[in-house]
Amino acid sequence: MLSLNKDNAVQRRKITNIVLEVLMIVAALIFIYPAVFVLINAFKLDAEITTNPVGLPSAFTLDNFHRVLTASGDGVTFFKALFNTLFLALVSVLGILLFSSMAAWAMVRNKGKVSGFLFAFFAFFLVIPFQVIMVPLVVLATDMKSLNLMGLVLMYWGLGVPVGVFFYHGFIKGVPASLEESASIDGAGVARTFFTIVFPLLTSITVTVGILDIIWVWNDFLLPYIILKKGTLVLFQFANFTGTFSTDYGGQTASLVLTATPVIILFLSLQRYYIKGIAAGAVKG
Amino acid sequence: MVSTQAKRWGTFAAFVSPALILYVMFAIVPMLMGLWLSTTNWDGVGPWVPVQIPIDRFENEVLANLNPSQQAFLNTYYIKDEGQGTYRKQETDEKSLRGYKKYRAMALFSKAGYTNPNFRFVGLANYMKLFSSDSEPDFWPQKLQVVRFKPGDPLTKALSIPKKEFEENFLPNITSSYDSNLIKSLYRINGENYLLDETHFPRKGRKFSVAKELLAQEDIGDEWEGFLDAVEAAAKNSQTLDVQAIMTSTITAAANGSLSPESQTLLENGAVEVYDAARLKSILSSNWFDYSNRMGVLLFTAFFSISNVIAVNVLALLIALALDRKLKTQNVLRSVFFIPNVLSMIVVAFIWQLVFSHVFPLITGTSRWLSNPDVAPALTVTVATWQAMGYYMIIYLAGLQNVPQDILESAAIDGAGGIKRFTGIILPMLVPAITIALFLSISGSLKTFDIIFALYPSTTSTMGVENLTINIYRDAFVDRQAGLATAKAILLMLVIGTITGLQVRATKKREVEL
Repeated sequence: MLSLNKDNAVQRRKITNIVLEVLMIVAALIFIYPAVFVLINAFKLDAEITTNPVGLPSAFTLDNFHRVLTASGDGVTFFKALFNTLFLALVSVLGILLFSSMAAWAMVRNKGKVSGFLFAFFAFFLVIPFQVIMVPLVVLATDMKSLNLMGLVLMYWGLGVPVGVFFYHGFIKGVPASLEESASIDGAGVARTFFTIVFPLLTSITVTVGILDIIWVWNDFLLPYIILKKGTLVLFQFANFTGTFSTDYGGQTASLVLTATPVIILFLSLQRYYIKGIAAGAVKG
Repeated sequence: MVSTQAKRWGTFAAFVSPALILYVMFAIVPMLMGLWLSTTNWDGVGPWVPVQIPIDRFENEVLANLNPSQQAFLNTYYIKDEGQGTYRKQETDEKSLRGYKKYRAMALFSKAGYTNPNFRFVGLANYMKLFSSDSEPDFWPQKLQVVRFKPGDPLTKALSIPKKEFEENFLPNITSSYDSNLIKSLYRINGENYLLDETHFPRKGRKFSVAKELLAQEDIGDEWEGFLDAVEAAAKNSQTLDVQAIMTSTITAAANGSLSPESQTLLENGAVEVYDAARLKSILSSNWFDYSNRMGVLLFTAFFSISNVIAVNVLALLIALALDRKLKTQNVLRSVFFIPNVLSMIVVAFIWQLVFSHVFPLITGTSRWLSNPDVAPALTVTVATWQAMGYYMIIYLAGLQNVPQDILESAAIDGAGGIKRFTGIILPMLVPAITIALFLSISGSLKTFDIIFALYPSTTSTMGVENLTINIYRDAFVDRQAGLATAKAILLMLVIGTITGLQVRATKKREVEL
């Protein structure tokens, strides 16, 4: 009796799985359609986008991409904007990774009231909405004459460190201190111990936090918008936003594709770590 | 012993300092400054030290109350201007009141008892303003008047007007009988819409249909452009069309009586077409409105947040449940659902703008989506949900990994149906994931800014999709009320903290240990 029930259940489960799989594939296609729509249209001539928005391009053209890559809205070319954004993202994230890992390690290895207080102090950041510090950041930057890319980098360091400390803290707690202890017995200084022994052990969490932060800084809009003067240094997304391509649908779609591609490539190649990181954050709460 | 302790703390400090200093400088200090700014009346733009002060006030009120070195300090930056009767602030690149010098000057002024009208302490006035009944009309629901035809729009936008709008929101608004007769003659009803009689008007893309012929007329020459401009101006100013007068004033051949009858007819016909077109545009832009109800900032913030939280979490959970069955395409599907989450909000907004303007009209036949205030709020929720769902799907997938398969299987064998298994086993074990998903989605939707701002860059308020964060941004950077804006932001912070605090406490109580 019992085995018959089990067979039926397994059989039913197999059919449900197949039906579900087909359903989910259809759902995924519908879900991702908006992005696909933009991608297809980037390869069409302008006129065709209006007359035939949904179909495949009848004449595959790279014209739009060429236009975007050679355009210069506000005196800033696409490649300069790309370089600015790349610089901003890389320098910000490297700094965040370095400073958060150092702080988190020191806090974990020196358990006590001070570390506990510091941890809560960093966690407090999650409560502050950006709007509260929005205007003061502009005031501070004006005072320090840092309404520029480097000033932005400093801000991202300050704003990214709390979450970084959070992630590193949780991870380092699971790293045994034995290796460090034997290193110190051998006479290695603290700094050397950290950089040569501890940091390499943190690779997986470093990659996770790194990707999370790169995507955050790369895509961030409001902070650069209010800090950088328009018309000087412009980041990627601004071209779309300031209407460089307002009725030029071809240019707009090509620009969107170019803006989104680097992040998508980064995500697809490192998605295992990224997804693991989010999941780890969720489970550890 | 002591030296190792000190060394230990030394290294501790060295390792923690960079992160700590940066955090304090760029998050904590701004937050405190924000608190301080919310108690001032600063507009966000004006200087904190006065630009100019009347001579007598400067000398008698300010300098009189300071010691010589303090006076000298202020005198470096404030130069007497006899002509204006004031002391004016003089700044050059080397000698400027920035940074600590600015704060020192501010301290000196306040010590002397002089208050800068553009930047003074108002205590809780900003907060009180928010709670008084007559300020912030934007916060509350209102009936919106949406202009359907802007002055610069092409006539193609008015080719077809829905019957209800035509008869209720357009025709009745027209006051002059000439104008309403014109409209009645130009629009014919056809089914559910009133259609514009296109034959009356110049073809699109050309100024008017007889341009080619006019261009060939020698006695008119280039002057036909000036003629048509004058006709258009007459139409816009609601003057009656006096073709003769305009001809005489713009065409030399007409003025000295040598205009050929051919040219005369051409000019007259052209004038009528251009006049009527310009007149029509002017009537449309001043009389064609649409009325809809705008939720107001508070209601919309609530609507958006609640809808977004529900939509995101329900969708994410359903998809996670579906994907958790070790399907063959599982990883690919998971990535596909996640990709919108790595795109920037601006990119997402533009993608959906294109989709709403090109794809939705084709599928549904309705051409107004984003520009329709009745559906705009729902559309913002849709776009925001599309972008965020992937992240929460991952959280739920992770949570589902922790549900032991053997318990589920034995329950299935014992005859428990799918729903029973879900509510009895899976859901309770998912509570930690739900806690964190709710926490992040609630605070995330209350703080949403980028995506709505990019969908409606300057029209959030008029379209009824302005939430609290956008309202704060508008106060700070558009309406020049930085003090008020920061006060609102502080309140927002308290609201978010309270709601999420309550939520975490409520859900943590239900966590089940295995």
